[in-house]
Amino acid sequence: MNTTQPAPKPWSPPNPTLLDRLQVSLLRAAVASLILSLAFVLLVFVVSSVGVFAGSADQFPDIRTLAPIGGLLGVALFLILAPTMLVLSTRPMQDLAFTVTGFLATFFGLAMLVIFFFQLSADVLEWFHQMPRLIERENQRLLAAPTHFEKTELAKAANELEEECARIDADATLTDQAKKDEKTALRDLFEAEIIPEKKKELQTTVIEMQRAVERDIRTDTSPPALLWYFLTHGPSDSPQDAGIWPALLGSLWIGLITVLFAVPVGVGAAIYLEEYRADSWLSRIIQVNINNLAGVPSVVYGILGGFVFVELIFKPLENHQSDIQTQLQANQELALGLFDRLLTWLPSISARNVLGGGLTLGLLTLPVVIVSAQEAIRAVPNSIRQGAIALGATRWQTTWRTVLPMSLPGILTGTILSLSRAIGEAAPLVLFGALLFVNQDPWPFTRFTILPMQIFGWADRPPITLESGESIDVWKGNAAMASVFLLVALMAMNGLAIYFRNRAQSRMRY
Amino acid sequence: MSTTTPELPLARPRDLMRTNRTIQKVVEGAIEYALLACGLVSIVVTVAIAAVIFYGSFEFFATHDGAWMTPRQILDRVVYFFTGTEWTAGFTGAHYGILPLLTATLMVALIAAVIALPIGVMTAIFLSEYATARIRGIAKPTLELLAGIPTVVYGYFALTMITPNLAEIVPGLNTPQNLLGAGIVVGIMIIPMVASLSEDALRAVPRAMRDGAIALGANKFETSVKVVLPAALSGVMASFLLALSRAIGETMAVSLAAGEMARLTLDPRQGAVTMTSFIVRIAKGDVVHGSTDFNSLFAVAGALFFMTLIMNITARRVLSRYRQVYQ
Repeated sequence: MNTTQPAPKPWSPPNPTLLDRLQVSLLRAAVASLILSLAFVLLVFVVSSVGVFAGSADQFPDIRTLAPIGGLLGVALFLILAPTMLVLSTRPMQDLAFTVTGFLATFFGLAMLVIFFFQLSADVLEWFHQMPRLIERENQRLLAAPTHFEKTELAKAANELEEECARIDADATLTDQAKKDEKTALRDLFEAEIIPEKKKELQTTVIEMQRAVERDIRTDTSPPALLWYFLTHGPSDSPQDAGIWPALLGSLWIGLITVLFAVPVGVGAAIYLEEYRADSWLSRIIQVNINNLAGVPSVVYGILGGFVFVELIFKPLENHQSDIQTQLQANQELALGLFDRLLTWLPSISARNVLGGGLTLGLLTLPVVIVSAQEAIRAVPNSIRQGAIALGATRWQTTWRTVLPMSLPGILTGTILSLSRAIGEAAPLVLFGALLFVNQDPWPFTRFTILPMQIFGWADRPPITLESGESIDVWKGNAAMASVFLLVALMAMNGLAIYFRNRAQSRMRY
Repeated sequence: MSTTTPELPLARPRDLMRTNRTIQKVVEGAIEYALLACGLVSIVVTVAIAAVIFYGSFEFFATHDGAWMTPRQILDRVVYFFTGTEWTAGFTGAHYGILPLLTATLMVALIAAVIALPIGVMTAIFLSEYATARIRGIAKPTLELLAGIPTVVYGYFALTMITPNLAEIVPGLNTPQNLLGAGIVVGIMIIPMVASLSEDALRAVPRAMRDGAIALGANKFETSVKVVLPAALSGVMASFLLALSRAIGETMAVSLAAGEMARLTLDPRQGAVTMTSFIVRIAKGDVVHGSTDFNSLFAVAGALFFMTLIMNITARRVLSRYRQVYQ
């Protein structure tokens, strides 16, 4: 007898029914919301107990207010989680939800950028709106100042006259007629002599005030003029006259010195690590060292620069220079060595100067430059090196004439990226001694300020209140304007770096 | 026919350099030493950092405003530094216990981690598994732009945008400076770092594992989360550690946004000074050089340096060990 059974169906896992899924998701949501709300209540207790222990809070939170809040939180979580888990209980929905979440997470960054951009634009527009008002207010104060000053001084003199007359009146030893005569005599003296003398005294001050009016009055309040003023003036105590010129120059100088130091040393170290001694113990130590240095916080570099460059190098130099200068003043014919004579030619050195700051930032960006130069040199194909050696080139000739030119775009990318990071860093230079209020143009041996630090100083200041009681946050507006300049410069540099990176990648096509 | 060797022209230094092997050897040796010196600069920097911090901390623990202290007092100071809960630098009878500064730093880092780590890992998974070239073309430059914004500008955003909006949602928020706003801003700042490092780790997982999972019937979600992510987990952990160390070392944004008073609190709505912003504040203020208050910044910087050093070394160790598994 033929008992042919039909071929067994391939096993597939049983699909859960809607009811199954509902049960499971309700259970999971209930458990999750219970645990989460309990955890929240516990957290609040722990936080407040630490606060009470450390003295920053007064008392524990009342259990009678906390319990209903915890209960409400649990119910709300359950109401949110249950439908979500029901929806997510099938595999296709899980996949879809994951894709959507990934997309949102990726473009969270873009959303933040857009929000930041709008915030910055709003602040900048506000600045352009507020500046003419503040300038007008200042202009009117300046215009009214000379006449106001004159009037107050004359009023003071008139007050003195009135006081004298009152004193005469109160003098009981004179008769009425004598009093009247004295008062008239006094008044005549006042008109004839005292007032002109007073006016002559005031004259010089009034002339100076009028000169100040001509110098400081700002007639042009159109946006391009405001921008130009902002770019070409230094910081000041009145917010409408503040500008970023010394900060810009300082940042430029610091960037220049950083690149001049970090690029040769960095590329040299990278060449050594890649071309010369790739596998000795010393190279391994240097490599590990560089990787660790890349993660050190920037304040520590500031402390290092502040100590090594300021205390050990520039302070003694500054003292030596002032010693020589005092000696020279005392004795003109003093014979000086070559180094000392060189010191007298230089302008007066200050210990926390641009040179030291640039070197500090150079040390900060050194690891990044080394790592990116290493990657650029590593990307050069070996056939190039072997071809050069086959033609009889020495190691340095190979490196200098074949490997380096090919890796140049990559090295440039790393340089520009590290430079843009250096220009945006303020912490090490704050520790090094960059000032917040510098009005002179920075040169290598003078004190300096940088753009990020100017932003830092301005963003900290409170809003100003006008006479009408209105308070405007104009310092934040200045900080916003300075941020715009900084961001524009950095975007330009990053764009340049990306251009060079594309060129490097296109060159490596073999 | 007589063969006369032609008169060689007078050798220029450049020709000598090219043809005379002795000169070449000397110059090449000198160049190699110069390059070695460039490489040694980094070692000198590390040694110098350690020396400066050690010297300053020694001065902090062993002297008080110039006068030496007995070994017993020094021991007490060291113990109180690591366990004490009051930091009152700048006042008379000052206490120097680092716990308030440490908790503030860790709070900011924790809030930053809560924001940056999930979003960063999701971004990395999305970019490496799901994204088309067009989406990558938009997302990658966006992340680089986010990473390129200077930290002071982030602090400015925290002050002008995040704190006012938070104050409407969170009751009892301390404006204008609080740990929550600072943590959020630092979190946004380190998202690009987490994303790029995690993406490198995910990219290094061999294709065979993904193909195997798909062959067994998994959809993309299950492949990414249940197969690829566990395989790349050590790399992702290393990226977490590196990003955390960056968040701990963050200075300017936190100085603007987090606070000026040293207080020991776990409440993110309050403002508290962190280790880095304390260092900046002391350096910016008019504290006398060489006084105990000034020297305290060396001790705090030393603690900061060691914390970040240990985190970085651990992260690199994990990364290198991870790389060996697949090669």
